[in-house]
Amino acid sequence: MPTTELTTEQRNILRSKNKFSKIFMAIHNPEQVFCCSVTTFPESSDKIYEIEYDSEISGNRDNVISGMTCWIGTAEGLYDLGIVRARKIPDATKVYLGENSDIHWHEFTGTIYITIVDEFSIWARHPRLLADGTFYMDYDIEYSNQHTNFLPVVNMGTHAVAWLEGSSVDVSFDASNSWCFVSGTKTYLWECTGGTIDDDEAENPVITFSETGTFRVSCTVTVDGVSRTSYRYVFIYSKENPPLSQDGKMTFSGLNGSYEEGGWSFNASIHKPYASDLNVRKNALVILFSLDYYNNELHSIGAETGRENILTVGYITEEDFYISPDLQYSKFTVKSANQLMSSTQGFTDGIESIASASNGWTNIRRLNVDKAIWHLLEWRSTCLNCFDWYKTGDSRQIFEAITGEAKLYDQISIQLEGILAKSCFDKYGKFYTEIEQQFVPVSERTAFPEITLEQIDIKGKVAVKRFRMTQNSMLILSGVWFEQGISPKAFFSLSPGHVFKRFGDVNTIENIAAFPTQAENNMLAGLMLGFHNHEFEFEIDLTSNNRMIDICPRQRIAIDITEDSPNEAYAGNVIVRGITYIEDNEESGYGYYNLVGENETFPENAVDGDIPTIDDFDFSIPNDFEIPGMPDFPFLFPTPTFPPYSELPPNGIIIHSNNLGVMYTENGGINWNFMNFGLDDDATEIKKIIITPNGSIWALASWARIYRATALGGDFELVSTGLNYGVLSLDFNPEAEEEVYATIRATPESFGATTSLIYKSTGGSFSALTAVRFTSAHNTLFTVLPYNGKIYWFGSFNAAGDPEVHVYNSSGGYINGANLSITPFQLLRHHKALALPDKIYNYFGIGQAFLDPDSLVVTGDLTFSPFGSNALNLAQQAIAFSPTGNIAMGAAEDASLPVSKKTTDGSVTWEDAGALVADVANWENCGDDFRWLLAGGSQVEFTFDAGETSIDITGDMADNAPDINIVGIRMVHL
Amino acid sequence: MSGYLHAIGTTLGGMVTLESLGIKVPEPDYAIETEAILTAAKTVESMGSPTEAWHWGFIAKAKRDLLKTYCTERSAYVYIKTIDNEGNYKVYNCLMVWPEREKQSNGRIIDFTLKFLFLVEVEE
Repeated sequence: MPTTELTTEQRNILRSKNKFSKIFMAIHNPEQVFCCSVTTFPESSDKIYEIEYDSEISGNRDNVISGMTCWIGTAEGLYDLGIVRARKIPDATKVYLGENSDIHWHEFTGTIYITIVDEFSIWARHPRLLADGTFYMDYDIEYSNQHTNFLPVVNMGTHAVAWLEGSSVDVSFDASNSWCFVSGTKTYLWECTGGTIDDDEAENPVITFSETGTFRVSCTVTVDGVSRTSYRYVFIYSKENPPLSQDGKMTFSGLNGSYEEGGWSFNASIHKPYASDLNVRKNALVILFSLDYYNNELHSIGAETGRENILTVGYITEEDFYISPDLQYSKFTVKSANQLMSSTQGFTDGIESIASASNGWTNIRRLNVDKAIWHLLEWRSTCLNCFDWYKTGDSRQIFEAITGEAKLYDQISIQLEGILAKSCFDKYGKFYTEIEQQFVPVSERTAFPEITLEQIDIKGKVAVKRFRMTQNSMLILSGVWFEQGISPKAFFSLSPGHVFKRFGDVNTIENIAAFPTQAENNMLAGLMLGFHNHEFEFEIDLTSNNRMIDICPRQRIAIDITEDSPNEAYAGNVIVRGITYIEDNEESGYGYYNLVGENETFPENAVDGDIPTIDDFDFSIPNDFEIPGMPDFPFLFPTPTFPPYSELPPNGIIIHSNNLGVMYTENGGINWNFMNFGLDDDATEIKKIIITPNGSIWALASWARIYRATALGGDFELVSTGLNYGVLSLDFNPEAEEEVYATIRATPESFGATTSLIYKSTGGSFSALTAVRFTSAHNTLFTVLPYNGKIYWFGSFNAAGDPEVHVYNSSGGYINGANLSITPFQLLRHHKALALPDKIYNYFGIGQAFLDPDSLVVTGDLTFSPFGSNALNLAQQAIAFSPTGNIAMGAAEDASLPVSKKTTDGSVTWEDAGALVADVANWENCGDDFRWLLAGGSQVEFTFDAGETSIDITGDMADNAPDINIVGIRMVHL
Repeated sequence: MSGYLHAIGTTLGGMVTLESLGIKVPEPDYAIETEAILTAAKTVESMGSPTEAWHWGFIAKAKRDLLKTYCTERSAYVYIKTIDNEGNYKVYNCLMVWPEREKQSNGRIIDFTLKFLFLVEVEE
């Protein structure tokens, strides 16, 4: 996204004296690509999608590109009979058209010409549903994988206008803002119908033009093997071949950008004979641009690098002819693409969210607003041929995206309304879909560029309208949070609270896509009320034509008018909603911008809202999310208990993998981020992660090094290097805030290793607590477990030495110990001991055992029971018990795949846990008998019914790290 | 007046003096600004381009036609050399605006004024 912050140099230039601009207009008059003649016409004009032609008249059909404009006319190069779209490249007999019914084919006689021209415009692409249910897009495109192998969005910037003054002129392009829902390396391929590209595979090439004319530039972006091409035009002029200018040939007026309307517009007049049917063609691309002088120096300052000379980009939408004997001119209106999209009718659109990979045009995995809009822009229209699109970035999932037959722009707006977002075209014709910036939490607004206007930048006085009464007395917000596979949850929020503000209406906002937590929704309600009750509205004349300011993307204008109006003071940010270019005197060339907007607003108080009707409301939330109508007044009785939160996954989860390192989520698996800083090469060598009660995160890596991060998302710091001989275990005391124990080898590993030390840390470096007593010199796999105020050390290795257990007090003093004679030999596996309420459970792939610590302590004779018949998987977290110790979920090995197992009697008996996801070998309990996390491979699941069902909480990890191989998972209390 | 340096041309290198065209020196009307604005900082700033106007009380039709070759339509970009308010000759690229009306009398144009807008000073 381009920056809009001013440099000091730019600010000084804008403050120059004698500012003036020469304004020019470029109108795209496209080149012919291919023309053919038709003499045999369809008997019906309905649903025409292809036409057989007789002969090729001119051009080369192989140069036709899908999406180009087709002129239907009585002669080559005319469009007097209509304009349609080239759906595909013509073959030797047919021209393929966007399906239409508006050309009078059945009435034609003689010869008709189809002229395909080098132009890409905005068209609807219609779906086609056959009686057997087969669903095609754009007449004959079958669904294969279009909703999983997402096409990239090519953001290559806007069109360009340049002057050829010497032998050549350079025009730069930059496609670095291209993006794709699928992660992967972006590659670029540039082509141009003229000019020389310095590096056609560069992200930001320079194209050198040595002649005047109009040239098509295409950029193909490929991500993960999937490619998409978009097109822009470069207009090269010279003094000998000038554009239309204000030297008597053209006038313009009313240049205005409106955030509310979603774009820019202006009126223009072209005097005959400069206006013709060709250059004032309906829906033609128009660029208004300038040469800007500041104190006799030529500069242009704008937000888009290399396009600073552009005032606006749009399309001709309306035209009036004025023909009289003494004066003839054409007057027309140019508007941003929102106007074309607002007039482009589309058939019903409907997409539902599904948990698995999409299998049709009507579903998308983990649907969100961006994906729904992408579908409209990419597959239901040709928009992404023509302009850049910046998505909202909002990851809230939606259950479905359904619009009836509606205009394309309305279909998009309907989706955006659900997340309180809006679309808008900036002056360059780039399409932004953004959440209203006043609804963004204050802490996140620093991401928006800020332009400071000092008094020297303001012409005359600032007109201020101040609202002395609030406009809204209360805002009632309701919505549904939806996550694929999880029961939707309704939220209700009230701002400022249950009592009205003194003045204003009650404003009810319903059916938004809510955030996952009540606190976030309350914050949103407060932000919305703050916005609706903004105190100031401003009208500001700038002294300059500062084109860094635009109606979008989001930005803030800082002003301070305290000096002039101490009683009407305002020092803060203004959110610009409208911009008008004013040229008081056409002969002066001096133009400046007039801004209108309101003050930046901040959240008002907000509280949990009340559920409308206690008895009647169905808490299960039906799939169509019909929320009961909100009352006109707040309920002044206690808030009832809401549906059990236990059906939701914990917000904080951390996983580690053996190929991509550590990732975490703070919102229950919606968004996942990497957390590898500080781990370096050990990121993929994590063997175990533990979370201490105070939230610190400890990681044992490579059986050698221990790292610690103080919080989820924090940086890891190396705490111990393992004394060179390895760290064999890491665990913590659940009774202390942060008390971590490790068993560290003091001698090199071998069958004869004889020395091991228990180390302890309370947050910093480790210190030796005690040396371990060995009975068998063959025990080299150790683990240490704090338990009920004591420290248990386990050692085992192979049949040559019996497993043994030694118990120490918290100061390292020796209490007791015992050898375990087991047939067949048992391995008390290091790092796999679990502390349960009445026992310690140690598990391993060959056999399992639990130890009764009381027996050990009191009698020195361990109670020991093997469970050899339920061999569980070798994964580090193959078993997780609930706090009661009675219920556990686990992964048993079956051939090479883990099979989910469940016990409800403290591991005495195990049964299949149900049809949970295969290949998931790691379990983590979430604090009660019902909720577990399970992970493995690239899957992260959550079960809230003790394994009866599970839901996918992979979230955007599926997009950002699809190949991850997870080997451990932990819940983190936030 | 002799020795005046007023000149005009469609290109910088192609400028010729009015004197060489046999056109008498015009009355210049140079303005350093087209607008003066008051800023919120309580300063007055010059805005807009400098403008120039060449005025003749009358000019022969033949001389008028010579000037017309530089502006065959309503306006045209030309180069001129003219004198500013400080008495310095400078060269400008500018838009030459042909007058809307011309009052002819006995083969002469009365009160003939050529306007030059959007003056951009260039190196000669």
